[in-house]
Amino acid sequence: MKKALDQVVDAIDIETFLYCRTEDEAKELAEALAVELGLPHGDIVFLEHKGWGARVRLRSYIHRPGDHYRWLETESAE
Amino acid sequence: MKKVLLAPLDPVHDNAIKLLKRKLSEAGYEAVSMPPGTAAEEVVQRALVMHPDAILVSRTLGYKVAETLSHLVDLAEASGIHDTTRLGVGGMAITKEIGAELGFDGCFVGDLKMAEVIDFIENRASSGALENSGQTTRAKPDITGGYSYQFYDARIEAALHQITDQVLGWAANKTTDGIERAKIRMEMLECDAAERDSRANPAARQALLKRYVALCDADIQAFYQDGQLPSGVRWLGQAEIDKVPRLFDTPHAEFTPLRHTGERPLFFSQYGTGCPVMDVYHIKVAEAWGIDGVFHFDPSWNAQREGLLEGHLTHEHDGTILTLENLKFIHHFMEPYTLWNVRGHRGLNTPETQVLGHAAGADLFKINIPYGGTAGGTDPERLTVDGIYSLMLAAQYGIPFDIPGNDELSGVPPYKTFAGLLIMMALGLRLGARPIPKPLLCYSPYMTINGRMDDNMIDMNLAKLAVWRDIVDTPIWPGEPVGFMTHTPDRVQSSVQTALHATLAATMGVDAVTIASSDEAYSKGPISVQARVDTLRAVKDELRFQGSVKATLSPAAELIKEEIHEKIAETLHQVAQRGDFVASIYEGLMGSQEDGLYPGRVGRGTVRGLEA
Amino acid sequence: MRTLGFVGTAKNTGKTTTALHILQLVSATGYHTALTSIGYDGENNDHVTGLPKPRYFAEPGMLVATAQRCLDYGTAEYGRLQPTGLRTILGEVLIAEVQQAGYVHVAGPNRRVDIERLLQMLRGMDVELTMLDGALNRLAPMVLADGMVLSTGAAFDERIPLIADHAAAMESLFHYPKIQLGERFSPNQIGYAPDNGEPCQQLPTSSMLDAETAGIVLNWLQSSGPGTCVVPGACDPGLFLNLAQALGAQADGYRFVFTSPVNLIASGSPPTWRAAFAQWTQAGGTVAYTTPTPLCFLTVNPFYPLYLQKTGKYIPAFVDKTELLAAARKAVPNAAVIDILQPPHPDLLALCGLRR
Repeated sequence: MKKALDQVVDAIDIETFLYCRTEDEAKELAEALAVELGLPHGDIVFLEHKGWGARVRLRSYIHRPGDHYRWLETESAE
Repeated sequence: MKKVLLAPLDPVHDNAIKLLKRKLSEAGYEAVSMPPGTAAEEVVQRALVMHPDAILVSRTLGYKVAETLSHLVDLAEASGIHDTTRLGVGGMAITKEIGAELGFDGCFVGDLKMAEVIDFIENRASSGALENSGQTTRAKPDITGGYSYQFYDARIEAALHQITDQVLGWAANKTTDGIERAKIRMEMLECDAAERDSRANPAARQALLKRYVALCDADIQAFYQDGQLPSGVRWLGQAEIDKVPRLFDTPHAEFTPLRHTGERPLFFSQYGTGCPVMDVYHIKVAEAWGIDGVFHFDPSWNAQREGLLEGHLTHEHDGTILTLENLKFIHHFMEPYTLWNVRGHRGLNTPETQVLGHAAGADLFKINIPYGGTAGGTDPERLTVDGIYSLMLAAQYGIPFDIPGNDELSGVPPYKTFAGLLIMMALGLRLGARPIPKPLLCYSPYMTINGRMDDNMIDMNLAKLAVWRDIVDTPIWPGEPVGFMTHTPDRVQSSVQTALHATLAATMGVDAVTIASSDEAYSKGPISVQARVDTLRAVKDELRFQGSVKATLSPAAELIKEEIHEKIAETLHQVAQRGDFVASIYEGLMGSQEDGLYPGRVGRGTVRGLEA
Repeated sequence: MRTLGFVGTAKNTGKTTTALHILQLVSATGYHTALTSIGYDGENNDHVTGLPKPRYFAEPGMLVATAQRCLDYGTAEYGRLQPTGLRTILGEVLIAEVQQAGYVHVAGPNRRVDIERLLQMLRGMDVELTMLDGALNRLAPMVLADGMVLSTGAAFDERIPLIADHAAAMESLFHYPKIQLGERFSPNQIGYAPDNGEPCQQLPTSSMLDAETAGIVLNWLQSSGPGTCVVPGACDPGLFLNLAQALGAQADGYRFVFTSPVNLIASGSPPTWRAAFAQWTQAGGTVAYTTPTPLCFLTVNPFYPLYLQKTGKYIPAFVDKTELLAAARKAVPNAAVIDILQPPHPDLLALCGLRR
């Protein structure tokens, strides 16, 4: 059975909305979220705080260009 | 007249049937539809009376729906009508495999494609409905076809004539290491010795390579002489290369373009992830979502060193290393209709880039001396000599070249950029090449500082496109990408801006548009493949929204257009009067230091006279 | 060459499991075997439910008639490919010889006329047995088979008495005799030849699927007296029941001829047919077929896909297997009823006429 994470071509983006009171808090929460979800090298691509919450998109590269891509390995192993 | 019986086989919905009925009637078929809730028995009974050539059924798949559909097929079989009437099915969740399992003769997957439906009714073997062989019916478009390049403004034409005479006269007896390397690479290609593992003519390769390496910078020499790879670069393994074809070996439905109506504009995006394998994947995704053409982006250090590398190379930085092997590998996987641009608009390897691009099958080049000689970072004198040689190659190969107007991003007003584009056009035309100017639709520093887009972004952008129609009969290709400096890392915002700019250009009847991904303004990592799809989807829907609607200029836009036109003429007059194109770049006539543009430095003092 | 058809009353009733079992038994006999399907079979998971499916495994030497595209899938290796000129959604059907054992994807022709051509070609290749896999509840093309195995089970309906009764109703349709028709009847038209010597009457349709057609037929019967009525295509059992009722007890000497029991099952509910034929035969009428495809045996399968509203997913579920088999055997005393996964079985090859 293929591992789904191996089939991610390059990046995983997670979009969500966080309850928080300030932009700084939003950033802290977003970074913490990446850690809690176990995303390697999570980065905040975008964050927009207004009022009592923040729109946020987190990104973690599973395969960077130049890596050995596991989706290439699994495909050829079939 | 062929007869078609249409049945929803759905208790409620028959929108698809109504749409099909209209389209088939328009196409000259006798189309009879049955109401929602019709039973299979009624459909077959009707068919027994009507003797249709085809029965088309529309139904969303769900559990037990399969049995309903196959009951119809079975009844058609039992009654004998299946012997003469073909059965087709379409609807949400229906795939070709399900269609086959249900016993249908044709299956329509995804959006309604009338050509496919008609092929099916006509029982044409080439039908995509019958079999999806992955063969494409799309032809490779010719962007410059049908344009005469006739100038409508005599003042501008006269100034360009004068400038062209001067530039070509100046460059006539000059050469550079870049040009000499290109010539050596051509010789290598001629004797089949241009690739790292070329075995045909080892003696010739060795001799030519020796001459080539002598003209390279030290770290490129180290690559050839000691096998030393630049930092962060690695060889792409043969095992990796061999696995790539497996990724794409299943047949696919024909990819549909983004356009809702008409044949233009063509849509382009760049690739250059750093890795040829990843590039191939990104290109295939862009093709699947409707792209017409792609650009090869090379790393910036490629432009700053004398000499290019060889072999299949990958690295973890922006821009894919430009080698013949990498180019050929990437090109191999493109759809036959995909247009491919290998850019060489700046840098010390501009002539050789055209040589390699041509050898790998490029359809388009990108050459711009005033831009490459300033914001592109290359010394203007060097790039003028190299650029003119590159234009000669473009003419010789019969490959059109586009001229990006991205110096606007440094703060140059559009008219100065456009003057540069026109000079490049005139030079190319004089040398027998076919140019494509690329006015940039952007929110440039000039616009923000001078408040030229404070009210709206439409008037200025329309004026920047319309002015070309008043000057010369040429293809127009806004880029690069459209909406530059309007994008933020918010993917919704970024996609919307791209779609608005792209489709605004479409309303002006342009020939091509370069679009960004929604990662355009994200600088902390490579462009993700999903970000490419974001903007393709946004543009497609925006094109659907506006259809064939064409733009008209507001009085304000007309004024801007006139202003740009007048100032282009003034700028060209000044350059012609200066009598020295290279000096005009150094002195900022096509974009000054005050505007934010500085002459490039890479390769300064490297132009030399041709040996007699 | 013998052609054996495998059909089901619905998806997931176990027809592939049955066919695989027979294939295993056949492999020991040394028959030169070919496999094809009137649908598409070969994926690991069901298209609709996403649940795992059994897959065809082919041994070397076996012929597989399948769409070109399917040869790229599966794990078997093929050789000696032969085109057939028959087209399907998934490409032209090719006859391929399995050279290395493995799983196969099978999608053959689905129309009777095309299957007939394929069988002709296979005969020419010295094939001794062709396994013709059905698809879902489709069985009309099985009129070409020399014998049929019918699978039903909880995937058709989860109520055991209903499964058993439906199976009995189907089985009852296979009891009527074969008849040879004279040249008076057209193969594609409803016709009526009265015994009183009046000329044969015909309708420009093969099937009785609406009240108007049924009314005309009834009128023939009532006005010309006893005779032979042929309905070569499909026939709505409800309309036939109405006709039988309208004729009342005066059906003595009247014959209805259909092509095959599979045509009747394809046309409508077997219990309605059973009721209609009971009415008809009690009143003295008779029924016959021109091609009475024999039923080899019936299988029952306790499995069904249970839909979970909350998750939008299907999970495997089962009715009581012992109860199901017992109920079906009781309801169908005249044919062998088995559950492939509940041995012992009777001699299935003998039931299929495959004992050398």
